[in-house]
Amino acid sequence: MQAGKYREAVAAFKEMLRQEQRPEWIEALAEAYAGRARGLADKGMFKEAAVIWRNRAESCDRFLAEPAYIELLFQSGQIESALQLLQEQRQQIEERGYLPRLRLLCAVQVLAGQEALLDLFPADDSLCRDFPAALAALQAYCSGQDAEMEQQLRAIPFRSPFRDFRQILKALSLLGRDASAADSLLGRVDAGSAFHALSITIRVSQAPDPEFLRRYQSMGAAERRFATALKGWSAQQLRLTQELHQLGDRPSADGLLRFLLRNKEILGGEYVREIAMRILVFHPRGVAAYIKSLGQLPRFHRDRIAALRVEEDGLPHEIFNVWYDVCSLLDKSELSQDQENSFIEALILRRMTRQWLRSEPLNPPALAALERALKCDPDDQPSYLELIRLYRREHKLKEARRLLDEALSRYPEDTEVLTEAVETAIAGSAFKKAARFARRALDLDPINPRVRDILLNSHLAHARKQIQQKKIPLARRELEEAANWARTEQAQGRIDLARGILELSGGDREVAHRCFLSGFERTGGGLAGRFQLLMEAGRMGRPMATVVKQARLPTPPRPATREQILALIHALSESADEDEGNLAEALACLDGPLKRAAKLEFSLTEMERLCETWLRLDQQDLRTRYARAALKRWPDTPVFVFHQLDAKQDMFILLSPAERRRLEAAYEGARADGDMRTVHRIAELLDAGSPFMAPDDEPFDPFGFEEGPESLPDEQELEQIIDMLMEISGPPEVEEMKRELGPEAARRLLQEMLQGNFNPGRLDDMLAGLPQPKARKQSRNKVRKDDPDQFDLF
Amino acid sequence: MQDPYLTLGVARDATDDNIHQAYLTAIRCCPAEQDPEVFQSIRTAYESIRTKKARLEYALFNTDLPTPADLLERLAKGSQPRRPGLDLFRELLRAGPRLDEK
Repeated sequence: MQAGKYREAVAAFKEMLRQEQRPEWIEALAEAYAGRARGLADKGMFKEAAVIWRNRAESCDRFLAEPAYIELLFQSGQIESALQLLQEQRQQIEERGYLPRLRLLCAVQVLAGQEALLDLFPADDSLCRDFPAALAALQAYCSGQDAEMEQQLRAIPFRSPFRDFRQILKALSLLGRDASAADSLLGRVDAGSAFHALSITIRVSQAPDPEFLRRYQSMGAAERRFATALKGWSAQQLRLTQELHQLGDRPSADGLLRFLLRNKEILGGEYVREIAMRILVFHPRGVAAYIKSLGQLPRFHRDRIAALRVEEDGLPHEIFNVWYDVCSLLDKSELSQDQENSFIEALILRRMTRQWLRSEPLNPPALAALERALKCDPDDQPSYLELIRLYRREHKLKEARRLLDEALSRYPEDTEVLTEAVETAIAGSAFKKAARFARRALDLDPINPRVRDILLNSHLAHARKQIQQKKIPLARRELEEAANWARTEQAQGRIDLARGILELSGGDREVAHRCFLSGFERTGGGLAGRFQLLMEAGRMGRPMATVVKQARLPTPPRPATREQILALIHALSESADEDEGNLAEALACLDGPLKRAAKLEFSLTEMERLCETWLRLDQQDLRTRYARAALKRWPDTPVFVFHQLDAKQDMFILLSPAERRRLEAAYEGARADGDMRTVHRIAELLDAGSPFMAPDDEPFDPFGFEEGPESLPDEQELEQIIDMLMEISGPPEVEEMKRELGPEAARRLLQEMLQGNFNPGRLDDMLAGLPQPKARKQSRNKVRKDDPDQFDLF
Repeated sequence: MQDPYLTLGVARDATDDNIHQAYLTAIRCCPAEQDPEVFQSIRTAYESIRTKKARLEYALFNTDLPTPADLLERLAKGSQPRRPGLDLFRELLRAGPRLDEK
């Protein structure tokens, strides 16, 4: 019984009672029967439950007309039997105290239309007295007369058997206006109430749709009809909802596609087309179902989908190329008239350059594409900013200024553009111009920290120029100006260091020493403070080591601490725009402590960051030391194997076969870890060492048959693979072959390649006897004006 | 991201004005202080389809697949809650409970 196995419990107790009639076993049998009846009723098997209850009364000598049995009779529609039993046992029911509960059960039934039950009760019983008001209130609710309903409900007293029904009707009338008040009223209906089923059904109908659908599965037919009516769902809507529910919380791409295609009329053809195309990005095999249901997939969208697919794991130049093909499908002749086409081209051009420019900032095709995007869509402020930054970072100031002029004429009061103007002016040593732009930006946005920093740097740079030219008073004034814009201790420290060098130039060594000490402390002390002083000396063209000696800074602890190294790395990360020569010289001055610090207990992430810093600063010796130290602690970690061996290659040391094997293992390890950045880097490193070999030293193997000839597919598999590759929207290489050679020749070539027989020198022999591809029409790649599907983006 | 058209309740061919109006209505109904999460989703939806260019970008590059909840919301579009009739009340009261609290 504790396990809820009541049927087995009934059988066991009956067997025991055949042996001996113990009172406690009879009691237990009655309990087991009741449990069994409850279980059946929970499954909606009310008739069967009533039979069990009768067996209980007979076998255990129990009073039959208990409320639970009467309720089962009501629920199984045996109203006559219930009525008869209630009439026969009226006195006993009253004596046993069952009347209040039965009155509540009858309240539900009389509202359900079983008004004959009223005859069982005296006319002045609360059931008979309150029934007319309850029924009138219900009818008023159903016909939308809320005032009438309220009035009728007021006639139902607190102790009435219809009291829960009163709460429910009030809640129903509140549903559209105040859902939380309605829910609170429904929540007050006790689980033991005869009206509980009604309140639960209403609450479930108001649950969010996924929750509603989950509960819908366990509803009875009447509950389902009631709840969906309350939600206002049509039968068709309900069918679709159920169908969707069967797909689960995370439907497969195929399941979702088929659902959409099956129900495209209801969901809307255009919507289904849009979503189905998105699904094809992840589920290329769905293209056949798409075409069958929605018709041909226009070439533009087919290639767009293929490009989105390449974005998933393609290299930046592959992504660029595949989008470039999509762009070539746009009708350029219409650009001037058709703004939408111009936008589309601009958007694609920007998208395809994004990743490539990140890894290769001055890559000419990507830059050209970004400039072209501005021609298609000149009102795009972020593109101006991006191009200005790219050109400035690569010291192409003429190009940066050209774009800046365009941006300033278009957005004269844009603080971001003005900030770029400040930076570009500084990059060209036009400090007065920079200050002018900065003041304009600050007039528009007085608390602009970036401009303040730029302005500070501009005054500092100007001061350095004056110090170098020995114009001490002018330099001092510039430093005072700079101090006005310094927001942080760090910035104040940098001014102090510059002032120290200024005072050295003026000959006041004591004042200089005080300035150096203050600047050293304010910029973090330790290695970071020392680094800032070295850099400041470098910026002013002073010999770094001499200035440090003259500064008489406190002796640093040996070895440097982990915190000092991390503080230095932070300072280095903020020096991205610094002169490389100065950076290298400053680091050379700190070489000893930095080398010794490789042995410190850094975390894996810190070690990775350190290696990345040395890579960025081209400090290959330090990078090797830190990568080696990291590999001692975390052997074979792909990223450190890469750093160690890439640093070696950068130092023009050829990798040995054993090292290449280590790299290959690291490549696989990084791929298994999902570390695609390291995967790409190792692939490039391996390619650089051996341009015609893939990472595993096997010949180029586009189909992944990397285990040698024994793994080549049999004829049937071969045909299946070729069919798959030849299908619409297959790999771009195959698409290209189909276009260039025609489908039959492409198929033949694929066969040769997959069987390992491909020989580029025998191309003509292989294709002999096959039909030549049709000559390309001039307009093939252009968008046909009469093709309604070509740009059906909306 | 949820379908921004669905979030704002606008058609896929809605204009800038339609979208702006729908956005204003949505944030009036659900101000940030009432439900910051819903407010943010309205804001995100608005930003992603606010202009013609943004809508084109969404159409060209968005690869988010609808969740069952998105599709349910789309299916529920246009359906208005109704008051069940007396017959449905009586049927449910007669049949008694199948649902439990969970």
